Amino acid sequence: MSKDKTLTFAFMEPPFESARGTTVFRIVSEAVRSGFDVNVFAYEGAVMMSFARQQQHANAVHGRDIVEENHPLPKDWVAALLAEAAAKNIKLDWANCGLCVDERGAGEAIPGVRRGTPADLWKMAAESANTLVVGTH
Amino acid sequence: MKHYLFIESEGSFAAADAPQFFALAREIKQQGDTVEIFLVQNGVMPARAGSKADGLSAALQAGIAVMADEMSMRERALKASDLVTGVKPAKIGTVVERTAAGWNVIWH
Repeated sequence: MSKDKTLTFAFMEPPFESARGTTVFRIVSEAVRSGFDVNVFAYEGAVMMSFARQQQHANAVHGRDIVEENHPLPKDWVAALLAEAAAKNIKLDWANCGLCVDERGAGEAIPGVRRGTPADLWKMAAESANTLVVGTH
Repeated sequence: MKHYLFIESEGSFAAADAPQFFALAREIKQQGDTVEIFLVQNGVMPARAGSKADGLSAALQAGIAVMADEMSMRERALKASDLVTGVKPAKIGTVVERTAAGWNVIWH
């Protein structure tokens, strides 16, 4: 893996909150489509993005059942990014901060997402052309 | 010369420190470095022509290139013709390109 062809993104936005998470997914997707190997370090609330037990739900207020509601789940977007990268033979290393996972009882991540530590972010950054940190104030 | 991309995701209507973010961009520009601003999410709203948001017009007057994320504009029914003069629509790939090119990319 070439350092010049690897980008790292770190973010802390939890799912189902602001547009920030969606923007991170868009940036990661664009990087993968552009042929870059990508590291993602999810910390704090962002470790819940890949939580395997997210579930769709109906919306009684709007009179829609679970199929009609078709609520999007971030874990499915993470899976789609991993699948897209695999199809292109591109490395997408998605690591969740282990401390943040334990705090939230979020150990059940979808396949392809690994447990990491802040040291992984340091290593990812050291091995990348550049790193973008998307913080949540 | 260094290169900086400032990403503004909230705008001064929602974040009181957005004008300081733009002021930092101006300071760096005045030092002779390359500076661009990329507006995304609600950060595109202050780019509407006629908007009275703090900081953005000063950044434009300082000669900083200001871009607005196309998808964020579409979500908010903003057309290119709705933007203040000097702000140009741009794709999210701009962020990837600048990051890959080694720019200092700063998120707010």
